[in-house]
Amino acid sequence: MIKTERVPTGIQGLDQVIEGGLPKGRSFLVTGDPGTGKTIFALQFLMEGLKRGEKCIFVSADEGPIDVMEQAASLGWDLEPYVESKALAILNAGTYLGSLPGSGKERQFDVPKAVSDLASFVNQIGAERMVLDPAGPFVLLRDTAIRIQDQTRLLIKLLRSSMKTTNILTSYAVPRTGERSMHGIEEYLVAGAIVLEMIWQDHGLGRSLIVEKMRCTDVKPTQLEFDITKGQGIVILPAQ
Amino acid sequence: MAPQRISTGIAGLDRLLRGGYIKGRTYLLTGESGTGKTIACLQFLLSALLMGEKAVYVTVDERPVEILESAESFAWDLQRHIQEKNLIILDASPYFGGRGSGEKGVDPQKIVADLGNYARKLGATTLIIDPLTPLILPTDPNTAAHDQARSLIQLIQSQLNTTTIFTSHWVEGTNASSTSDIEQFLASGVLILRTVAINGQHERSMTIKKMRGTATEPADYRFVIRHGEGIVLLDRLGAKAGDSCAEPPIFEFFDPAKKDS
Repeated sequence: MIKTERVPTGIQGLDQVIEGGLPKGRSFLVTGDPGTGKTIFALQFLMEGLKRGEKCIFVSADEGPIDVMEQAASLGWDLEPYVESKALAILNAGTYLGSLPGSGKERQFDVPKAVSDLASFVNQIGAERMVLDPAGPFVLLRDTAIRIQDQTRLLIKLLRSSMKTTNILTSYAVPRTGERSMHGIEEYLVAGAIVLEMIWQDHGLGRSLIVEKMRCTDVKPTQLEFDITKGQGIVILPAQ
Repeated sequence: MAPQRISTGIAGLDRLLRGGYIKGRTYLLTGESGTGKTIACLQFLLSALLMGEKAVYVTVDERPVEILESAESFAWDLQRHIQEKNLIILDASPYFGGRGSGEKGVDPQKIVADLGNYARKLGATTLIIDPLTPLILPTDPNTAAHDQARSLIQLIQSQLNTTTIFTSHWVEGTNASSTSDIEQFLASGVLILRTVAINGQHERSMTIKKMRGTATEPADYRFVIRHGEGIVLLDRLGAKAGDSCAEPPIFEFFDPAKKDS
């Protein structure tokens, strides 16, 4: 029988729930409002890979590489040695994306070209894990929602066909009702979706993580509460 | 609504064509031999396959295995697409009773009917005929080659509905060739590949002669052919320095050694 190979996220309580990790070689979506921990989730996923000796790629669309490294450092993760030893490549698409005109005449973002460029980086270092943080700018067009969906489908399909990496795509929260595609990624196109949220509890504001979808995985819809701690990143709290 | 486009697969050209060839249209690549027509076809073929299109490649002068070998010499893997049943390469030489057996014409109805069978079986959305020229030699000496060309192209457009690339031989300076005129007239876009001597140096150039539905200026662009990349447009001929076709890199590689600069 075919057994799904798993890629541990490095978030222990989560890996337990999803049979050891994310199904290998697919793309997964992590959504949430700003400040809910998407980038931390992504960094933790890469740190886990780096600790296991895997090569990783972090593609940043909003923040510069230094900002990414600073954020990792604030959690106690030193990326610098990995970058220097070329185990981790940080790619910045911010300059290019910023050069696309902000409005008016649509200039398409060339998804196949972007993926083939990424694939050449992936193959160069033999990467096994990749993060696009956030993925939205790679599929946004000043065009209709249908085109965004097409671009997204194309991006995910091309990622799957042109590289063997397991990918985390982060995206801003998608409203629960109404338009589900406002900021980019359709949940049904990815192999799994994890939603990060802030929730009100008896003892104040808390953080929660929901596995909304996970292919090849028998996962009960559970809301996991978590903390973010220095040195460990996302730590799932024991169920009460 | 903006038409859907498919990348030409040629670095620098997509930007000039606002994203690539328009889906479902017919394009002509013309040039003398050795100017890069087959390479341009292969680049488009790979780009279409990457987009999930299925393709039929009709070769006339070369055997299918030679097409595979040309692709391989650029490190492009067509075998995989053939095995995955996304691509078939058809050898059209049997229409002529074997290679080199001469100038017997072929009935366009028959060619399109045969092509249609293969295209439908595969579900092909892309068609490449490299080159078209031998297929438009008239069957009947009373029919002009351009009539033959017109009926072939129109049959393909009406019956196959594919995005189609033809190549044709173009002999510099001979406008007497009526066939190339009619092909150009019927195609939605025409690219001319040539080798030109500039200050004693041979340079490759691509002319965007016609591109319907796309705002482009007719202009000549300098290009090179590189291993692994194929045709790469460099800059506009006669343009001032710095007016490059090269697109800015999408991803900047972060090198900590240079972070202070």
